[in-house]
Amino acid sequence: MSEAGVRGVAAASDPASERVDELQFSLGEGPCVDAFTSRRPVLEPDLATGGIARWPVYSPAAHQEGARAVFAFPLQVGAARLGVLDVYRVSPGTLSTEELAEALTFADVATTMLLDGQEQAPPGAAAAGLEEAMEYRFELYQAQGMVMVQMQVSLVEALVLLRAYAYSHDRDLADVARDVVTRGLRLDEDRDDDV
Amino acid sequence: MTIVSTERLADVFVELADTLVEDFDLVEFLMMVTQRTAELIGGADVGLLLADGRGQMQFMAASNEDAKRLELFQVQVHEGPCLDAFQSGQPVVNADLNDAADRWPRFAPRAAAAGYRSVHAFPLRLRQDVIGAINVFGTDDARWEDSDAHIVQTLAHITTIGLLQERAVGRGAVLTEQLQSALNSRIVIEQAKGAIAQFRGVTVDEAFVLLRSHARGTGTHLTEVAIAALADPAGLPHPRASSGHRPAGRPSGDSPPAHGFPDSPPPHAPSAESVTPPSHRDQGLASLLARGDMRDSAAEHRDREAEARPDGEAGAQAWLDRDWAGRDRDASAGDRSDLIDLLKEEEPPATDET
Repeated sequence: MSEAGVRGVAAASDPASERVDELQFSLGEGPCVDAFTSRRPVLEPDLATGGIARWPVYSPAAHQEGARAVFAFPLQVGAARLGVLDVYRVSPGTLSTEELAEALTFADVATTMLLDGQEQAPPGAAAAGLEEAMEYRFELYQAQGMVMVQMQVSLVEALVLLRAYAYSHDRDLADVARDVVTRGLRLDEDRDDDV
Repeated sequence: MTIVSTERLADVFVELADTLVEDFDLVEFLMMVTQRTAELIGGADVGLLLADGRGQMQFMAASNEDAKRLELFQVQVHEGPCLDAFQSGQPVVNADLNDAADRWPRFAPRAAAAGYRSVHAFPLRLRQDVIGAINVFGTDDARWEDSDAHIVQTLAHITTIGLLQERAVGRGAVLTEQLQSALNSRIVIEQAKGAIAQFRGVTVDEAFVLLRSHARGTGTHLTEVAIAALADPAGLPHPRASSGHRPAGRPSGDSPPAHGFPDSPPPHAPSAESVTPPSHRDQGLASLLARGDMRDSAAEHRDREAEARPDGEAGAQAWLDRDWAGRDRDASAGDRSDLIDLLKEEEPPATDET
């Protein structure tokens, strides 16, 4: 699922999960759709009770496929949305604290992988750089908004460009972000160098 | 000696209660809490951290830049009063920063260097769960009475109630959904600050003031305005036209130009549901986000036009204008005059929050 409106199941761990995921696209309702539009996790521990109330068409169909609980996590960075991670369970019940933390970590990893795409970034390079410089993480988000306007690209593309710039110039993402926010760096000027 | 002024306290409780019975934006609410707590105590700055679904603390709000940096520093070095209050569920009161190097070897010198003498921290507690903490940095070494600590802890409790925005608090999942949403909204606001700063040629702090005045002037959620601004950075009115500060408005007889800024497109959110939210309280976030989704459709529509976009910011202005011409037709005249009326209202109070 993406901003551009391209929706589909990119990957599924097994055929049943894939069928349940696809249901949401054919039915136009479901946890994945809700997580995407609301930009927040959608946690439904029991499709037979709470699920029916939320998604009257999807829930029975998902139940038919064997799903009893569903947990959808948006893959996003602020307003930049890349997709949704759906987790299904064959028995009803909430996620434990540990399972929830794990799912959120998976969602983060998936988001990073989607952002990096074919960039072939060294594993964990950006994450490590950010961990050291928590203070500048907010500047990265600001830089993202600025690059979006500068380059007339989507917010997702802006983040991809910032990360690609940091990798290709062998710089910390936090430093690149700060330079953009203080107007010392414009990524479009960088591109013009080649013209 | 009592630190907290009881007179101001009454005002703050009234404001908090007024906010909580209305439909409100969680991020803006937390910003307000830090601001008011700082004002209440006097000579102090306040920061607030929330725990994400992994139990990791994340910065949410601060009354000023120093407090913000110290909160972020605590998260980064994994030590400090806010983290102690979070981990223990117990308040930290009257910690002397000159005598805290053993307790917080990295945080204490840093906070002292920023000009603070004392520090206090209060957990945001919901039954057995701690979901965050409020930190108070004092610039003098006035010792707090038990009653002072009690009052700030009570403010922390009220803040926790505010975080449980939805009715179905019995469902444990709601809190997780709510917290993750608030943390993401905080990021959305930073992204919007960047987009507006770039589009308007202003600083990110000025962009935030613009963002917030527009939210207040139109009675729209801050996060919602931020999302709209990201979909269309031209959508916010120019600073001069956006000085409204009123939760709701009524139609006005006289109608100056819609946005009072000839080379700018009309202000964003002139639609009926943004100016006078009909049923926010019942539908909560769902209705707001459904509208966010409608804007996304508009953004997708623009994306399809993107190939035809001319280069440069002048070009961007041109295609944004074109899109706005389309949106204008959708807004009824009555709604527009509502907005115009709001935009003429008084200046909002200044803020340090960034």
